[in-house]
Amino acid sequence: MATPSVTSIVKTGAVLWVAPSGESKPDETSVAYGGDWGGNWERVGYTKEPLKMKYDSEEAEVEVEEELAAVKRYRNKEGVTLETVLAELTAEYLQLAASNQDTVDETAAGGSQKPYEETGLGGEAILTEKAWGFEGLYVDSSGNEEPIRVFVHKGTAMINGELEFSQKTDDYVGIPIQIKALSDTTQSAGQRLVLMQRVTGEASS
Amino acid sequence: MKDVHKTISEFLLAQTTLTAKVDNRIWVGSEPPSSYKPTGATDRKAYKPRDDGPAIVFKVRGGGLDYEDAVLSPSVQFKIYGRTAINADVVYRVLCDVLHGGHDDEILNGELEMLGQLLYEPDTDWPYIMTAFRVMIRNS
Repeated sequence: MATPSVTSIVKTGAVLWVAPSGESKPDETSVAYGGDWGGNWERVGYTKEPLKMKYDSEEAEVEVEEELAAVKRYRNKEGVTLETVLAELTAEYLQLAASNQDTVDETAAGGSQKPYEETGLGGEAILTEKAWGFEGLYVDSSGNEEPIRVFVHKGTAMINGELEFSQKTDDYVGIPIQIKALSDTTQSAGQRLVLMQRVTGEASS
Repeated sequence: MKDVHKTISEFLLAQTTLTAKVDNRIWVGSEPPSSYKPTGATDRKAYKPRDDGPAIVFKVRGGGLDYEDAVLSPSVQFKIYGRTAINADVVYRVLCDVLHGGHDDEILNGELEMLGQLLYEPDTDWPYIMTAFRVMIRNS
């Protein structure tokens, strides 16, 4: 913390990425802003609402008879959620939001056969854990575009509301998705839910 | 306070896809300079048709500052002139490409506020596209 800096003020959207749980994170130096994260990371398509990240902390307080206010406070529960609405209505994204309950079967076009995709929901208790991340833009004082990345080491997704099919509203169908982080016990305490990286400039050589 | 018009002008003049269309004919104001003629109108001094090519004029029409006076958020009106309505529209779409989501070390973000509307200058009948952007600028 130091003198206020307008360079640190950020205005950016975010692009969501997903990979199998345990996937290595993209390198902060070699993977530029907007670049492919590589490995098994897959970029999630269009979203129709801002991506929102929320950290919840539940705290307990120690009170003693001799004091009016609590003398100690500690955290006894925490959680991180990411929320947005997927703009593309496909079987793959429906499954992504539902934590992959079913496979997506794709049938190619053929003689007397229209191409189609098919997937289902219901009857699967196990939620697929995945690694999640999102990337926004930071522009440094020299005008260089650098990434701001947030990684959720491990989390599950859920369909977070209604899919609204309407001819009479001025909106289109979206898939509300909420990603809830799980504690990754392989990480250091203090980093078990989320890791944030802001690349602040170019390499010196 | 930062010079909003100068900041936006410098940003636009640095966009090669835009200057390929308008060269350096990007002016601050409500109308282009009196010497400018986007059509084949006769130059009264030279008595020959002139076509100065498309041009952009812009000016702040509103907006404000954030809570800390660290970010300016002017609403900026743009008028894009062309020899024809189609010609003006081509330049308008290039302007959208560079300014909507545009940024540099001074501009945080540009956002299209109003889709372009085709209009005609009442005095000269010149076609132009009117549009507006919200431009967030670091006030340093």
